[in-house]
This record gives sequence, structure tokens and C-alpha cells, in this order.
Amino acid sequence: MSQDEENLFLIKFLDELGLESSITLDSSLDELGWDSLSVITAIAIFDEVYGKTLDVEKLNKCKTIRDILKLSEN
Amino acid sequence: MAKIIKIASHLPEEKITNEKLSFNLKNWSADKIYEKTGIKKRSKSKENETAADLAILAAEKVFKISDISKEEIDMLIFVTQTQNQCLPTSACEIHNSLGLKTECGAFDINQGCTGYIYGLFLANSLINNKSIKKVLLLTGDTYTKLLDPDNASVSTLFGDGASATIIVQEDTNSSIGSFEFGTDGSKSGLIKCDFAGFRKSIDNWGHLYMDGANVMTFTLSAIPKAIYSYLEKTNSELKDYEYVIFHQANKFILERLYKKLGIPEKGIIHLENCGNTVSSSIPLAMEEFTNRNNQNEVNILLVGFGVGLSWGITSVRL
Repeated sequence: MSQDEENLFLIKFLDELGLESSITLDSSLDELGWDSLSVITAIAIFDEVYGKTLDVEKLNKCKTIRDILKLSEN
Repeated sequence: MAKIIKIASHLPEEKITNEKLSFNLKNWSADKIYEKTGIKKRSKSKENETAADLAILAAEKVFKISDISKEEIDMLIFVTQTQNQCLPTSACEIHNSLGLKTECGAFDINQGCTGYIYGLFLANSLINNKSIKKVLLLTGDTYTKLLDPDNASVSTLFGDGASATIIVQEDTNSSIGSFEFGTDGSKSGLIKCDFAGFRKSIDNWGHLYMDGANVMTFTLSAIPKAIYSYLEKTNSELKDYEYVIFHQANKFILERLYKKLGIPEKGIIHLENCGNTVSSSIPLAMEEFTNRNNQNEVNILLVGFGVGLSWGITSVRL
């Protein structure tokens, strides 16, 4: 995945979740106040951006935003 | 052929506001609840008020606004998952309360978010079979009685309510189209409640459970596919429908679905002041639409999905 693609995902992610722009791909999900709504939002973003259905079990094991992004490569 | 004549509804007076919910829910402000659900308030039935009670009030309203009298009804169908008791069938008690004639059948359908589509299907089939001429289709649920108030993923969504629809035989004009149904029973545990069942003993009954994440993945993948299948089978396209009404689950998922299908301008959202009313959500949106519609009759695609997991699709002309 190119740097541009990563950045686009991050921007969309932050925008949808209403998070600060200082957050990076390697920020910990726990520190972001990750909750059930965040999970649902991530599923919706994946469906829209990649046309893929996220595996909820795999999603629940992610520690950072980058971990989530990597699921797009599966 | 079957035609929908009138739709009416009843919502309990007491409301659960976002402010009230946020008082109990950690990390959920009133604004956040509204932003994510699109709901400002939900109706809550009284402690001793059942879904059947709400449906009776909706039925009384629909008879007031239509030319059909109670004596003309041949079949009463009540869609609910919060029945009065195990037996007798709640529809039989409603039959008595409404004073319907003895020569009128009455039965319940245990279906949730797809329930109204099932009800229309049965009403349509009975009428087309020429065995029945006039059907009173009621929906009603009191999910607030099943909820754990501390569980934000359900307490922010569901509200109580009921609807009443009169469907009659008509020689020339049908207002109800074809139907398509689907079930994924392997996901039946994703939305579940033990109340009033025999799988578990009373001591082990749990509140309503919903796996929101997996319901979301199901909805985003299964429902668009089902809609495209319906369109293919009916040789129609989305442009043939002026409006689309999905089960009013929550604003977040509705906006995603309407966007995914490329129909954000056609998709109706009606849950701000009532919440997700389960089987009543589609008829409530239809009633609201007909009350403000100044156009001639329009084609509307109806899509129910949820508990089961199940889905059902049809079209109506209102």
C-alpha cells in the first residue's frame, strides 16, 4: 500500500470518528477511546473504501490503526 | 389483487431522551447519541402496557380514518415479539378488544425487523387466494421491557410503538408488488432475548443482546445483494422507485446503505422522535410519508432486515 493510500485511510478514519489530526497510524486504539461505535465505524469505512467485509474477530484483535489498515491486504 | 387503504400508528406518551440516557451511560453524551443514532427520543410503554395494548390503539385510529368498518375485517394479523403471554395468541385478545366479528381469523407472527414485510406477504397472499377480502395487519413491540439500560448498544436505539394497516381486495389496482425473503439462521444468535422462552429457565433469562458489529457486517453485505436480486427477479431498477424505506435500524446504518446503493436522495429516514420500533418502523415511516405526500401515488421499495437474521423485500404503491 502506498503512502498516499495510507494517508487517505487515516484521514477518513479520523474524520469519521471525530478524532484529532495529531493521531497517527501507530496510535494505540485504547488511547483513542475505542468502543463499540468505533468498531462499527471501522466496518463501514472498510466496506466503503475497499468494498470488503471486515472480520469482526480479526478487527477486535487490532491494537493500532495500522493493524486495521493491514486487514485490507488479506 | 390487494391494496393498502390506510396506515395509522400509536406511540406511548413517555419518552426516553438522550439526556436521560447519557446520565447512565459512561462516555456517551446526549450529542454523541444523536450524532450516531439519529434518534432524539424513544417512546416507552408503561409497566403494565403491552404491545397488544399499543396495537389496539393504532387499530382504533386506522378505523377512524378509513371507510372500512370493524365488521368488515376477515383476518387479523399481529406481528410481535413481545406478546401478552405464551398463550393464548395475543391476536385473539386484540380481536376481542376491538370487537371484531366471530367470522374473523386472528394469529400472531413472531418476527422482528422483517415482520411488516411478512405481514404484507401473508395479507397479500390471503387476498389473492380469494379466501379473505379485508385484512387488519397490526405490528407492535415493547422492546424497552427487554433492555438492560446500561447497555448503550441497545438502549440508545429501541423504542416502543405499534402500527395498523388495512389491506383490502380490489379488482383492478394492486398496490403491493412481488416479495423476496431470506434467512441466515447461522446468525440467529446475533440478536437474541431469552424472555418468555423455554430454552433457558426463568432464572437464567438475559436481556436483549445484540452483536452490533456482526449485525453491521451482515447488513452491509447481505442487504444490497438481496435488493439487487429482487430487482433482477422483478425486472426493475432502483430508478423505478421514487422512494426507498428500509427498516429504521439507526441513522448511521441507513445512511451507509442508501449511499452504498447510490440512492441517498430516495432513502427515507424516520426515527428521530421514535427510535427503532422493530416491526413498526417501516409502517411508521410509510404513515409519515403519506401524511406529507402531496404527489400522486408513488412506488416505494420496502426492505426489512434484522432479527433472525432475516430479510424481506417488497414494493408498494402509495
